[in-house]
Amino acid sequence: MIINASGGGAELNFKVVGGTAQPTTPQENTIWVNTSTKINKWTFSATAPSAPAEGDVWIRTGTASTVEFEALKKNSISVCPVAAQQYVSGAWVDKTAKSYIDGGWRDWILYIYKDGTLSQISGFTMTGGSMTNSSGVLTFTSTSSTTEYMLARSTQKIDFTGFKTLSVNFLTGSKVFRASSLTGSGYAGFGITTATPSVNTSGYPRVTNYAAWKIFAHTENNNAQPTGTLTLDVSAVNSEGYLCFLGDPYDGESSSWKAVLKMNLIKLE
Amino acid sequence: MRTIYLDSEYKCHVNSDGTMRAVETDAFDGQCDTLIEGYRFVPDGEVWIRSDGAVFEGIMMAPWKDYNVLDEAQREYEQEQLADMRQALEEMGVYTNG
Repeated sequence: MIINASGGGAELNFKVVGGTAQPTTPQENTIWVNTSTKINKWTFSATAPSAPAEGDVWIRTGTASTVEFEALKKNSISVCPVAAQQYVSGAWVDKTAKSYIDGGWRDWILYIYKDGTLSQISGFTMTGGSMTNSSGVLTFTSTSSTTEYMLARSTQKIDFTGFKTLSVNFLTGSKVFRASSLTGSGYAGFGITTATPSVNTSGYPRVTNYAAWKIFAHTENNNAQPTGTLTLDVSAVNSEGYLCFLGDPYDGESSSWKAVLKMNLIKLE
Repeated sequence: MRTIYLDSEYKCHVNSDGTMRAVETDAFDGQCDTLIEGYRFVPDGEVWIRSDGAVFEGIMMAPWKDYNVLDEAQREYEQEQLADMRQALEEMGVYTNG
């Protein structure tokens, strides 16, 4: 959907304002674009406007957003802002934007998992493992089976259009082991697949149909113990896809390996 | 496993221009050259910093060209491969349907 205007309007249910200081008395559905460059015109669109002029703001829209709003006062047109850019010195430049909704300012971040709640998806389809969601921690744990890998695939596809970075915050205790001593190495990764992935236990990245993939362990002597926030560039993944997590013992040891992946935050921005 | 070449921004190339670094990987096995050259590959232990300052550690494979365009190229490549295989089979006297 495209809205192209050079000012406000009696029928519009929102306002776009610029400036480097967050407005102190905003109205509901105010969108603040943090910029020192005067905004001449704003456009809501899934694709960049053609023939932009200096100062034009492009608010990229998607199919999901934590700051979705109704654009009109009377008729229903829902808009899902995802990111904001401004045309400065001949190029589109990323700008931070926030929305004033329900009496508070909100960041333009799409949380897939936060504070124990999954959004955009109802869960994960597990192969070779199980999922728990408890006390704000999402955990994937491998099961004792002949499957030589653990794969978690989101139950629904997520639209990554307009987002730039997928971030996952892993917690201490995440590990992929091999061998009966439960030490040593394993392989692990996460990313986006555009179709239901197949897994092979040789080579990298060991999953098919990937659009973007992050590997955080891959060698025999490298403990797969991710901690902290790991990121994946998704800025060119303008499509829907499954969010997947993979763990396997690297060299095909099926009987004595284990994977535990614990995370408390998954987000798109 | 194949050799790809990385430029200074970790963009993949199937041929080197003399300034690129050779990397052996099976991350792109079965993928056409058009798709490969639309990706970044950040090796283990290395870091790529995006133009907005975001930091990405290897190992990472991520498209820098619109993935939809790359996927279309890959589908066309796979169809061509399939057509070639069918022709070869027919020349051998093995008839295929579809």
